[in-house]
This record gives sequence, structure tokens and C-alpha cells, in this order.
Amino acid sequence: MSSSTHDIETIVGQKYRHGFVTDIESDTVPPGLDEDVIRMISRKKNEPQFMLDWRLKAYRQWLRMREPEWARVHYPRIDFQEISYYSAPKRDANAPKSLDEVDPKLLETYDKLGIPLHERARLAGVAVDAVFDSVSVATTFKGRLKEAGVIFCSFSEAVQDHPELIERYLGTVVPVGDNYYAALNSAVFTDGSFVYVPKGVRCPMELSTYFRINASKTGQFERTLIVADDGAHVSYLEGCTAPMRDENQLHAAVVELVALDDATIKYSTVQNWYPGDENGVGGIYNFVTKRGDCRGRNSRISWTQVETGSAITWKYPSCILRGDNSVGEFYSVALANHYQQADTGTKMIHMGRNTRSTIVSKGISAGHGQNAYRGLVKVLPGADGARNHTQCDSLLMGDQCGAHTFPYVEVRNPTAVVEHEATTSKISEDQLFYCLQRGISTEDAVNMIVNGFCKEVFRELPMEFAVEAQNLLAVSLEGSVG
Amino acid sequence: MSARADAPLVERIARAHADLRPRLRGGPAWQARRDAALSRLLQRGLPDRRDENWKYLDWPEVLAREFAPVTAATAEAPTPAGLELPGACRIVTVDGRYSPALSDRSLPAGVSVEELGAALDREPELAARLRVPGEDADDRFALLAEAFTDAGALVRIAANADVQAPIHLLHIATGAAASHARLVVEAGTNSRARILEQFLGGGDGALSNLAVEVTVGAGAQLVHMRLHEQPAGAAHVETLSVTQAADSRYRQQSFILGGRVLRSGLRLELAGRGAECEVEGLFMVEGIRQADIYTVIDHLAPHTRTVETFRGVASDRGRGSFNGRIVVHEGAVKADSQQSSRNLILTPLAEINARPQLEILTDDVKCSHGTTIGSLDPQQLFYLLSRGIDPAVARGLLTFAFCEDVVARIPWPEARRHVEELVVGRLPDRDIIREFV
Repeated sequence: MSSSTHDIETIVGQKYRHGFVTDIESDTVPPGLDEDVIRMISRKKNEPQFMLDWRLKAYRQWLRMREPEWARVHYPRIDFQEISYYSAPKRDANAPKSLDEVDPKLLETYDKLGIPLHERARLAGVAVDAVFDSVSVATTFKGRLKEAGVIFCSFSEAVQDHPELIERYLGTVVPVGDNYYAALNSAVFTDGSFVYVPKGVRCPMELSTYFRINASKTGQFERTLIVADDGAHVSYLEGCTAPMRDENQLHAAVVELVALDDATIKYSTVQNWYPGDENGVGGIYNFVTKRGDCRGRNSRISWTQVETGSAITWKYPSCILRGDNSVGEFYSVALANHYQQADTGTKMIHMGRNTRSTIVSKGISAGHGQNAYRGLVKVLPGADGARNHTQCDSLLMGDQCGAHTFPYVEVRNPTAVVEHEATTSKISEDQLFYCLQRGISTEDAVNMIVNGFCKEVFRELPMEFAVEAQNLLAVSLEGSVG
Repeated sequence: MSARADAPLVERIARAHADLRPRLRGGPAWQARRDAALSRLLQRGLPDRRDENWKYLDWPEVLAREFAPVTAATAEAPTPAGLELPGACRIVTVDGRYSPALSDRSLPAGVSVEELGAALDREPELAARLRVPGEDADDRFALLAEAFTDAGALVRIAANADVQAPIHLLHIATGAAASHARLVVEAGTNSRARILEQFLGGGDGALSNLAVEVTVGAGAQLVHMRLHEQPAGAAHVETLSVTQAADSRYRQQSFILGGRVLRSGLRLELAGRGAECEVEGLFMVEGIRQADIYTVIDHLAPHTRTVETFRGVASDRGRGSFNGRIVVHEGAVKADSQQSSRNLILTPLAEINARPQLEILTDDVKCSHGTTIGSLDPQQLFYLLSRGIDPAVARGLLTFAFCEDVVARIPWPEARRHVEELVVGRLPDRDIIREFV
């Protein structure tokens, strides 16, 4: 076993493949945060008054809030005055209207990431609203989407072109004072994505955004708002990679989903931000608030996530099941290798009658990684016939890592049925031996077993993502077993 | 920390302590320990609903009660009769104070009991090994108990003693005042014993606060059954701390069938290699009663094993919560841990909260937990209805059967019948159900 262990260590020790910094001039404000910075962001983005008021309200609430400490993660205190809150790629007065006009250097960046914007987009039928740092640079397939009546654009464009939709839905799922990082995001967010699918429309393609943190020392505050009107259907993909650097970066995004009557939103994430090196130096702090509101009857929101990156992940994609018969789903694979810390899970708040939710969480810990599932299933008195099933499985690789489960189950209705089960195990010697004696190498065997462990979640991912996710896991964790 | 919201409460406690201090018994060693506990308590304060492990407790109900304990000489009140176990030796505490007059004069060989305060003054090494409570918020009520304990009780089981007779510890609360007490149980190396703790008495508005410490020596086997049947107006807070040495076996069964608010906290440390524990419990909350159960089991050594089983039933406006944490520490290889919490909600206004938690810091372990919250199985109900059984009776029978998961494992037939009677007494249509069970 020892020689194969050595091979595995080389694989595990692989350097982060997406580590590079694109040299583009950025329009960055000096670090620090006060009301003037917020006014400046709002002015630079040419926002209507209601947005500025909203931001200032969030900022004033944020000032009174305390940084949350309940998560099982440890990191040095963040100095919020050291962060620069605005960074946009410099561009001429005329924004690029098509891909040809986009800065070739940017396109090169995407190439390195393995996202040939035009080709892949066309082949896969995916429209990519590529976010580079904080300002959206190019959006493809606008035409086809426009034909269907779907609005898919950067958040700043939406504020300019559809202020009535923004005013109506922004902050209705995650209020400004929801939590510390959401409040900060609300005050200083610079851009993000906005999707509106009108009544009865099935979005003709899967929508996708690639996020990327670039300029050094710039916290990225994304804001995503997806609204599916009555009977609409949309699938949204989010993928992330970030360049390598030694300083920890803060990322505090907010994602809000609104599903009205009979609407379906499927939100998939592959997160592969820089996790820090093998000694735990550097890496992204990923403090994200994601929440979906099943506002209408028979609505459905499904979260699928594969979290392999970030030094610290603090993320609980949730569903508020307000409408009768609404359905919430959460499928997650979270990996913590080296010194990564993941505290992730979900909240399912059952309010409407006959609401159902499913939670499948797979945590994998290797090296010194710490992986925690933290979830809440709450059934309120009016939620007759609510149903939840939760399954949390943890896989441990090595004796230095940790796997934790912190579920909260709160039921106030006698007709509800709520089940939670969790297991923890390691890859058994028997499983490995079985594969080895059939001539399968250790790393292939481990890969196979891990993929089998995660299969229930991968099955929920769109095809392109499923492949990417498997590759990511293969690189990130194979061979943490010896 | 001094500017906590409960500052007035802490001041109340400090004043009560100043009044009481001259009358508390015990020598200088015990007095010094109490004073130290009080100053730690005043410094750190009591937990409140912002503490994650205390968030479900009915705080207004607890805080409305008087915290100052009764002084001596209230033991004249009529003492309720406890459960009669054949051959048992009975040890009685009244408001937390060991009462030799009410206890059996002759104890079985290998068992000794005395006032904790007296033993501490006599044996400095006991004082040294006795845990100092209050490190974290889970433990602050134990600190409160230590600060106010007048004498407490110390039960010892000698090394190698095989005590056949059940040891019946009867805790009696008198009147409506507060009591704070400390109980220490030491089971010596390779000893065997079975203890039944029973809680009776306590009027409306009474608050009893008990800190229990159990040490199970190497190779010892201890069965510890705890039966709460206080009247529906009493509040009870308890903090148990159990430490197990190598190859010891400890089995706890707790039945929470009484009290307006009952908070039971357990911290169990599997400190020695090969130590095993079984922790079982049942709570039933009806009316406006509340049960708040919190357990932490630490696997600190290799080859340790836990089986934790809790059952809960909530009806009317009853509220129950089970917060169970199992931690497998680094180096505790081959730990095996199973936790199960199943709960029934029978009526629309009842509430159940469950937090089964696992924290695992090493890889070579087997751990699982499962939780369910729901109502009775409609198919089982249908089966009984199709045989002509009245719906209310059918529901009662199924609820009774649900509780039997834990009740059936009570080691003494008399105690089992007694608990079954208490369970049936909490069901609607109890008179008819009695005919069936």
C-alpha cells in the first residue's frame, strides 16, 4: 500500500490549476467603508434613489450588528476597513456590444479556465453572463432569451432597465438586516445577475454565470436575484474559480430566488475557489447567504451544490416553503481537504400545507479539513401534512480531519413527518481490497468509491456540471486515503 | 461579561447568598469552595436563551421563581412515600440534604453514604478530585448548586463490591421554595451496583437545582435509573456529569414524567479505553409542561461505545426538546456510537425540537444518528380500528407501545409497572387503556 500512497500524495499535493492573475487595469477605490463609499458606488453605477436609500439602510443596520461566531470555523478577524469595496475593469465609454468587442485578455482568462465562451455556449446551449470581478462584461444569447421574454442580465443593467422589478423583489427574500454578511452585501454590492422568467415561460436554455475574483484585495459582493413568475421554469448554473494568492479574500454574496405559483427554479453551483495551500495559507472566505422563497402554490426550488474550494465556506442555501404544496430540495457535496473548513447546510421552513422537502448532504473530509453540516427543518403550526427527509453522510479520510453534524429539527404540527438520519464512515479496507484484487489501482478505487458516495447529488446536476464536478473531486481528494 | 442582561438575577443570587452564608454548614474547606463557586458564578452569570444549548428552555417560567434556597428545619413537612422496591436500601434527601433519620439504618455491604460537606472537610484528596463546575455555559447551574449546597450527599460503592440490593435514592422537595444540592456517586474499581433515583414533591413555584457527579471506576458496572415525577407546578434543573474509566459500563435510564419545567443536562466522558455507556430516556409532556433534555457524550479513548436512545411524546401545549451531542475526539479510534431520538406529536399546539449532533475528529469510527418527529403511523392505527377498537383507545395503545421501547428495559419489575402506570396516566382514555396493558 505504501507505494500507492506515495502516488496518491503527489496527486493530492497538486497545485491549484486555476491559479493565475490576469493583468487588467482596474478602477479600484481605496480600502475603507463609510457612507461616502456607498454613495460613491451608487453614483458610479448611476442608480436610482431607492437603491441608495436601501443600501444606506443596510449599512446602518450592519453597523449595529455583530459578526456571527456560532459557526464551527476559525479564522483571524476580518478588518472591514482594509477592503476595497469597488473594483471594475476599465472600459471606454462604449461598453462592448458583442463578444468581439470584449477585451481579448479577458477572453483569454476564460479560455484558461476552460470556458470557451462562444463555442461552449453555443454547443451546450448555455448563455453565459460572465462576471469578471464586479462588473459584467459580456452576455450571450440575449437574443434568443429575449424572444422567449426572459430577462437575463447583469444586476446593474437590471437596475437601469427594469427598476420596477428590482424595487419589487430585491430584499424580499433576504432582508437587509438578515445577517451580518447579508447586510454588508446589501450595502456595498456592485453587481451580479438578474433573471426574470415571465408567466408560463419555460426558459429555453440553462442560464450560467461564471464568477471570478481577480484584483488583489478586492472583496467581491455579488447579488443575484432570480424571479420565476407563475408557471415559469428556469435552471441556473453558477461556477467559480479564483486566482492564486496568499491573502485571504472575503466573498459575501447574496442570492435570492422567488418562485411564484407553479414555478420551478433549479439552482446549481460548482464552487472551486482557491482553498489555500497545503499549509492552510491563503484561500477565499466564502460567507454566502442563499435563500429561495416558494411564494406561490405548487412552486419548487431546488439547490444543488458541489463545494470543493474556499478556505472557509459558510453557506446555507435555504427554502421558505410558503405556498401550499411547494417543494424544497437541497443536494450538496462539500469537500474539505488540507486546512479547509466548511460549515454548510440548509434551512427548510415549512409554512404552507402539504409542503415537502428533501435534504441530501454528503460531506468529505481529508487532511486537516473540518466539515460541518448545519441544518434547520422547521414546521410551523399551519403546515399541515408537511414532510421532510434529511440524509447526511460523512466520509472521513485520515485521522486529522473532522466531520460534524448539527441539525435542528423544530416541529409544531402533529401531522408533520420529519426524519433525519446521519452516518459517518471511512473508506473501508474491504471495499479497497475488493477493487485492488481486481486490478484497479488505489487512486481509481478511491475515486470510484467517492463518486459512488456522491452519486445521489451528482445525479441532480446538469450534465456539463456533473462532469466538471467529478473531475474536481478527483483532483481534490483522491488518495487522501493511505 | 459582567454587563449581562441577567445582572439583576445575579445580584439577587448574591444577596440571597450573603443572607444564607452564616447558616450554611460545613468546615473551612467546603466553605472556601462554595465562596469560590459563588464568585465564579457572579463573574460569569447564568446562561440565557441566546446560548444555543439553552434556547428552547422556558426561561420566563424559570426566572419567575425564587432562587434563594430554603434554610434548614423545613424537613418537618410530611414526606411522600416513594416506590417500594423489594430488598432495596433507601437513602433519602430532603431539599438536597441527606436525611439519616428517613434513610435505612443498615446499608448493604460495600455501600456507604454521608454528607458531602463533612467528607470534603475530612478528605482533602476528595476535594482535589471533585470536579470544579462552571467552565462553560452548560455548567452554570451546577456552579449555582455548588455555591448554595448546605451539605449535599456522597454515595460510595466500595471497590470490588457486588451490591445486589437496589440502592433507592429518594429526593424529596418540600414546599414551594428553591433548593440547590450536590450529589456525588463514586463506584469503585470493579464494583457492581444499581441505583434508582426518584424525585418527588415540590409545590407550585418551587425550583430545585441539582448537580450530580458520577464516577465509574475501571471495570465497574453501574445501572442508574432516574425517575422524575414531581407535581406539575415544580421546576427542576439538573446537571449531571459522569466520568467512566477503562472497561466500565454505565447505563442510565431517565424518565421525565413530571414538573412544569424540567431541564436535564448530562455530560458523559468515556475517558478510559473500552468504556461503554447506554443512555436511554423518555419524556412525556402534556398540559403546559416542558422537558428540555441536553446530553453531551465525549469519546476520549479508543474502543469506546455509546448507545443513546430517547423517546418523546408531546400533547396539548406540551413542549419537548432533545439536544444530544456526541463528540469523538482525536485518538478515540474504533469508537462506536449510535444515537436515536424518536418523537411523537399528538395534538396541534404541541411542539418538539430535536438537535441530534455528531462531532467527529478521527476517521476510524462508526457513528450514526437518526431522528424522527411525527404522529402515529396511520397503518397501525387502521389495523386496530379495523378490529373494532375505539380510535382514542387505539391512539393510546400505540402511544403506550411507543414508550415501551424504553420502559420495557427497566431492570426491576416493580419499577417497570410503576412507570407504566405513570405513562398510562398521561394518556387520554387512561381508564380503558388500563384494561389492555
